[in-house]
Amino acid sequence: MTDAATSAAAAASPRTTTGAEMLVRALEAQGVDCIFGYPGGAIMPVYDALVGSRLTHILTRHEQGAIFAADGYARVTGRPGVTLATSGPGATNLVTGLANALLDSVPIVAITGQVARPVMGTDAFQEVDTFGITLPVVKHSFILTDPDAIPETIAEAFAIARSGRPGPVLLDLPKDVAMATVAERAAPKAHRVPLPLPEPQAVARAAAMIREARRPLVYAGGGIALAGATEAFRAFIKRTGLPVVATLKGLGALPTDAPAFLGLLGMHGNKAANLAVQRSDLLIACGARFDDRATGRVDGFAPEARILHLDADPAEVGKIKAADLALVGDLGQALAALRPGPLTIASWQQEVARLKRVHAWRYDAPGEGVYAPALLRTLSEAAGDDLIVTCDVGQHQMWAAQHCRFPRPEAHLTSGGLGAMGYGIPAGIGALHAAPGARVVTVTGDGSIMMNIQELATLNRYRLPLRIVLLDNQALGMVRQWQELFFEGRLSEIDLADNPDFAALARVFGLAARTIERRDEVADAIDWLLGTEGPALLHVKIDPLANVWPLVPPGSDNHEMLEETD
Amino acid sequence: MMERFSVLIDDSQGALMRVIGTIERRGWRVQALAMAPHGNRGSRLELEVAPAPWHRGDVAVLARHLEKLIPVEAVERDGPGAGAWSDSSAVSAPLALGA
Repeated sequence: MTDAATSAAAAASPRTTTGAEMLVRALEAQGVDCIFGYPGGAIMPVYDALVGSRLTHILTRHEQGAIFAADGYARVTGRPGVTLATSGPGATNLVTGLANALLDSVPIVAITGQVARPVMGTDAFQEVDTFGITLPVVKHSFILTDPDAIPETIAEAFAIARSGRPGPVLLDLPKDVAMATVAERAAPKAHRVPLPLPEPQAVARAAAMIREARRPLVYAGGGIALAGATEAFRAFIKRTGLPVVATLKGLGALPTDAPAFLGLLGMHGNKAANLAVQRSDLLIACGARFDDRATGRVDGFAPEARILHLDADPAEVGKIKAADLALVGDLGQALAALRPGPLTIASWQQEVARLKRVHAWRYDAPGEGVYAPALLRTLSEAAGDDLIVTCDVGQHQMWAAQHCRFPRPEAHLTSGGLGAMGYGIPAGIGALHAAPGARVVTVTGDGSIMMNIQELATLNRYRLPLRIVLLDNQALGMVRQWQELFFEGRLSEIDLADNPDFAALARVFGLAARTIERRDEVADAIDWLLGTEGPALLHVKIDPLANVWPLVPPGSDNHEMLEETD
Repeated sequence: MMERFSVLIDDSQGALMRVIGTIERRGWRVQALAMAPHGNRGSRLELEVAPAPWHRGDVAVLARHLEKLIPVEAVERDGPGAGAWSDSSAVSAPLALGA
């Protein structure tokens, strides 16, 4: 056949490809460069299509590790993280990660293999109702039943994941759809549906509320970073001089070193932040959702304050606490438009500055053992402004939130809403792929690290320079603390004294490792950790009886904090 | 306290389950449900719901949770004052609530 005849034939019959190939092209068209996953039977056509694609695939050692890594990647880049798993157990292992992303509003696109359409519903090998199992923990989901609709459905999934209040979207892909022959065509580009702008009249009313207040306070949440509104938020604080408290996920929206920042509020918040909330006469919630860990007893939360609520999600307004006024829509635009003019808050600024001074953290605990808060403070000061801290869940998580410096919100990756132990190391893997060259430290505990210990193998596989600080109190410390305080000291199933030798374990996985247990070893160990090439673990033995202070007992008001007694 | 409203949904996968699941998960019980075709490819759900005894039961918040679902096109209050939720209950965005 001549060249002319060949091209004529090509024009007459469009080139064909497979559903799996179109899926990979559609991911590329969304700007995806990196995906985290684990192969298996039903997803094999997609893994076949990955060979020779532009996508980098990171093989974790468990699907939960893959989706937590995608979560960390998404939080650092602001773009959807992508995870890939097979049907059945592969899909069920993603459920915790989907719930984590839903509660923390993280854009994730999860693609699961499914058995072929003709055997769906027959209890085929590795068949579960992934769509049904995941319904309550996704923002939206699809079963890709039409091979020809793959490009548009992928584009829609990404748009849903990243628009408005972000969240996880699941795509369940039957194997025969992945293998089907489809016409090859260009996939739609990435898009994002913009949020509505605030109404000028409502903004004017909000500005008037701020002007009328004498003790106004900003309650900053994770929604600020999610909305890409960090700069608008900082400009708003700079021009108004309003003091700021933050939720766990709001840390870093204002640099934690900023004079106007009073600290974390809530159950393990610092006293200045909680007392300021209780004293305020106007609470300006920015991308925050009045979570119970932040509010304590809701009726006793900010009892003297009017509430101004700014959020992307209309369903957050009035869900927990009635708002006197709500601005729903684009947070950055709302903050940029909010210009109340000169405020009468000088005496309030002095009052909160005094609270901050009086209740500043102290690092002079007696003893020779390692004092975890001081270690974390020293570490984050030594590591500098490019540090990203990822956490697991428990006492160490609260110490990290209280004592590490966070110059920006993306510097702190924590499982806030779900509180999922096992998040820290995979999130660190995701962060290192999102920001190659960044300094990433995972702060973990001896309970949490075992939840996804297999991901040490992933660190070794890609020689990722994650630095792990393992605070080991040989117990499920937060549970022990609550048993001591609220269950009359009856200890139940919290003892982990039979832990493995963590440094030896890390070395077996190919990490550098060191163990310390005395305060005078800390400075040298931090130098070692930050200076080590490749993945490294610092195993820190701490006092098994150390508690996190202060603590607002459940059901109490935030000013009723328990503090350390001598 | 019983609440009556209608939900217009498209015919996408799981649309009915998402609506019912959201109502239950947000602390309400479905007391009555009727479903009929609506428009070309959608359905109209007429619902009677009641809050669980331990739930404070703000139906405007429930409506906003439902409106967030991708297949939900509208949530409409039945009975007197029928039509879309009133502006003051802030179902539509951009919006301003309260005082």
